[in-house]
Amino acid sequence: MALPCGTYNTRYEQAFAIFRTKTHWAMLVGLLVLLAMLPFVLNSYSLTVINMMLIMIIAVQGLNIVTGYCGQIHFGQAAFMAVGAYSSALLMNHFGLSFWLCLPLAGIITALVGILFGLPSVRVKGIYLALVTLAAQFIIIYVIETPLQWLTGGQWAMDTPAPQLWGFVFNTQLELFYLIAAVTVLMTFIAKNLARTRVGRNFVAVRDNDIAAEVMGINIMRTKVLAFAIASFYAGVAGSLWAHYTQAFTTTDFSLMQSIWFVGMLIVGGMGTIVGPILGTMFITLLDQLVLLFTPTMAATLPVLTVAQISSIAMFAFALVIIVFLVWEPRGLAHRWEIFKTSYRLWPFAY
Amino acid sequence: MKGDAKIKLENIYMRFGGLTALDNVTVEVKRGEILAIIGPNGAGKTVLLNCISGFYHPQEGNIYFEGEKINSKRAHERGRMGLARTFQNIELYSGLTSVENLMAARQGLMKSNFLANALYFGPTHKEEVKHRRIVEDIIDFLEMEAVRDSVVGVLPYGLRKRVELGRALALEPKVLLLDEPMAGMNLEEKEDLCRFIIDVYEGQGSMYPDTPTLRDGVDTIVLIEHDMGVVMGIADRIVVLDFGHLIAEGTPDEIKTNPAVVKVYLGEEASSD
Amino acid sequence: MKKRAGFVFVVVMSLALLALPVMTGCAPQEAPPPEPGEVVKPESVGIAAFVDMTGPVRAMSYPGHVGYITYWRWLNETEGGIDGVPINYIEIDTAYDIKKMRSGYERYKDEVITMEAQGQSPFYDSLMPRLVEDKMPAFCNIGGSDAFLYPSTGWLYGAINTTDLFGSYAEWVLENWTEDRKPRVAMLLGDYPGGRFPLFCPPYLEAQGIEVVATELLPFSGLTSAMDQLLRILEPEPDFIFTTIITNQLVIVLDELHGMGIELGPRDQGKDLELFTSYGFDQDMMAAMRPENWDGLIACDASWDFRKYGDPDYPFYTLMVDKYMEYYDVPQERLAPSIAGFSGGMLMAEAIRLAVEEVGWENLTSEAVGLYGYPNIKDFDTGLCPPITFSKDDGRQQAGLLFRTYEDGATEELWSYEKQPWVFKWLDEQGFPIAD
Repeated sequence: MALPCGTYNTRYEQAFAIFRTKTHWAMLVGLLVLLAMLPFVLNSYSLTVINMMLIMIIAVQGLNIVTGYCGQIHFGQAAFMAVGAYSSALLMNHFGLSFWLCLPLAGIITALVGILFGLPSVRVKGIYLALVTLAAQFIIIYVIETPLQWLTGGQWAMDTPAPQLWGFVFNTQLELFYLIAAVTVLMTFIAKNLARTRVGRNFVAVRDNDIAAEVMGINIMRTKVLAFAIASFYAGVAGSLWAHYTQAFTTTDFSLMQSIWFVGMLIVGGMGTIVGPILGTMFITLLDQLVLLFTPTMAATLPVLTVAQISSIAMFAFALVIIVFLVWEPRGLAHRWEIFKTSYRLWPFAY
Repeated sequence: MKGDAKIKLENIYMRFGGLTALDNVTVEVKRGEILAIIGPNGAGKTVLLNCISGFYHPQEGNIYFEGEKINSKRAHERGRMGLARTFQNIELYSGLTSVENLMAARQGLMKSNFLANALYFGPTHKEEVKHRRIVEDIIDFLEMEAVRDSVVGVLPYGLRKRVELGRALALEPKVLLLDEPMAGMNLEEKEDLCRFIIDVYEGQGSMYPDTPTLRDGVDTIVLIEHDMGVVMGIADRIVVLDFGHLIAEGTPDEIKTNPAVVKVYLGEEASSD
Repeated sequence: MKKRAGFVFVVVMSLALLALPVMTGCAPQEAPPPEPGEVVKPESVGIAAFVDMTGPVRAMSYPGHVGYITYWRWLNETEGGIDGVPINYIEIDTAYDIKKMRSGYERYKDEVITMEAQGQSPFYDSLMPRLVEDKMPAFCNIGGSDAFLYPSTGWLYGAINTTDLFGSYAEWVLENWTEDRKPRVAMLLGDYPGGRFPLFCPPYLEAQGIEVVATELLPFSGLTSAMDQLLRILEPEPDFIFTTIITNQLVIVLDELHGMGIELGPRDQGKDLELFTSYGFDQDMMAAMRPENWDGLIACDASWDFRKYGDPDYPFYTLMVDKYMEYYDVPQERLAPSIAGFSGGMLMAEAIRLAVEEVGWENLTSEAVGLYGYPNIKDFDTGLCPPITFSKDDGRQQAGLLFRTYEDGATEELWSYEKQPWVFKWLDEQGFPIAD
């Protein structure tokens, strides 16, 4: 990765810095201020969309760790979100724990479940592992709905109180936005740290070459299971946020479709990068919302078509965008972003 | 002590189905020597190396490392004990840069766990800086600064071989196992690599005071190589394998004149002349 | 090359940024305050309709939905809407995705005073806190959660109660049972909330003298074979199978039962077992499979589905179907809308009318519709189904039921009665746990 023009590293600390130059820091502060100001310029609809998107970013960030970095295909992330959501809700409803305990505990419980379903990854690889995770999706939802019906209420909605901090209740979209955005920023920062240090390099080592990784002293089994645990922790945190954000949820929120979309978001965004999950989730959410917004308008202007027909056409357009995208940029939006950064830094000199 | 057995393989039998890849092979690698393993294709050289590094577990026989029996140790455990190796077909982490490949090799020497990694600030940062310094020394030693931040998947063949050697060095090995490090290289590259191997063997002393591997050198090296010039030039001792049998063992001069070896390499007729 | 790529990236990201103001810009504008003393009618009243048009429950939700919009469109054309104010119905495709339902709700909640959603009960569940907070009354004719149940929790109206349906099946079974032992019943349930309702039934059925021998759930979407579930269900040799499976699942089940050589029909006529379905005889479905698969099937129609196209007794239904075919250019062979949709549309319009009577057009809010609209509907006769009343003591719209069977290419009426057993009330009174 090229450094900005005229910047040279003279100490190793500088090479590790995420924000290397003053411009970087200025951009970070600017971005955070923009994020903090966002609720004041947006209505509750846009905030709802952004809140849900931020929660999804956490889940995809987790998926990125196991699929993007560690190379283990995972089709059950939504089910792990369900584990987090139900644990968090049950802990709060039955034990009266505060949200600030429920959030990490939900993550840890989900991580333990993740370890359980990550164990097969030691023996099975590739498409077979994908099937195992697919099974996890169905098994987890089944267990929540049927054997644990006495605890979870099965298919019925689980009511969850809004998060509280020292008596302050996060109830409106605006208040929730700050909460969710803070957690998302923190989780993204953690993902970045994991990716750039020992654990992250071990994950990539296992992904790229497990033979060499083993000879180099990496315990493949531990690494893979750890990747599943961390990914599940992320899913658990996202699920906990989802539970307290919606305040009533069912297992339908965590369907197989959702799991597949997580993988889709990751692929569109770019696997094995931190910015990928963010861009991918934004991109898919945006497309979704454009379809949602423009179908009623289009139906009004084009009376020959019903909304159902327009929706179907929109789905085709949606699919087309993604296909074109994958053909044209298989490495995802994150790669585009890198190219853009490089050319921006060298501008106006073509390199 | 120099001359002690660093690695000892005792009566190793390794069979794959009906094929016996190693048949009652006993080899001793002594501390302080460069041991070359030679033999025609399919002789079992790489199998022997795989037995040492733990990919294959022989059906019979014992393997000792520094006097300790390591038969039941798994590959990654042997890696952490100080057995580093390179591969015949390059096996790098193709998605990482050269620096990251070397840093990844040092994971066994890092103490931070994933929780500390997640926080980054504090111990992890210090550790990263410390290990980065050592990795940069190795990069400097192997003269690959220019490709430091290149993703290794796109590097040319010769450089990838060099990164692989660097990765093995970054592990701070007690024994270096090199599987055909010079295969497919031109003369110039071979000369470079020979120099690196000898420099590593001898140690660089005050040149790299902070990097133990380079400062003290790796005093035991096992080398599989086809280039006889290289083997005769740098090896202290040579082991010759043929169809899984150990047919000769000795100094280069002894091996050159050993009739069994000449027979294997030049054929029946040549030896009968 | 790199320059072009960078350019394209800039374009993509600027489009993304542009889209944000679009979302924001779509927010409703404040209307100027009305002058005092003058009744100002709004230009239109908004109703939001959340429908799965492209997702897995389309087959179930769309036919009901077109009933609603057909009625409203007809109302707009003939009477100019409600009291001269046209209905502006906003259809939103949720694709059975909670995120789309939530964001769609937030986007349009300020523009509408009531909403309907078909076959989206789990989403209603998760929207309940929002509905209560925003005081948004909602309507749905396919139930499936506590919100729709006895007693109503408010802000949510309408139901088809599959538990009561199984109560009626039980009555029919006991009426026709001649053998000495208890009749054995297996439950084959569609794996969606409304379909799972009868999981509460067994205590009631056992109390009535029926043995429940097996219960299986059929996955809701992506089902290609039900053989596993059928084998497990058939093992204890049931005499009857009660189902809540939807029509495309039924096609598979009937086909596989036929393939196994199982004949549907009464046991005293030498047949194997009888199977009940709750979705009536659907024309699309009948076209999708061999007629012999149908023989002996007992299909029950909720009272509102008794009406037949062209029946002189129910001219309004015929008119509605004609309008539907005209509006949406549908051939008569593919009649999709159910009567539930028409009557549901009428109920929603009536609720708005009642709210306007109470508070006037100028004060018409979603809260008014919730407080004075729906709860005041009493003995409202749609002319399509028995009179409807919304109150705690009402047995809901499931008053009547028609049992029909299919024999040699023709449907035959078996039984029809006025009042279904109210299973949930019974369970509640007996102290069995039901959703709170």
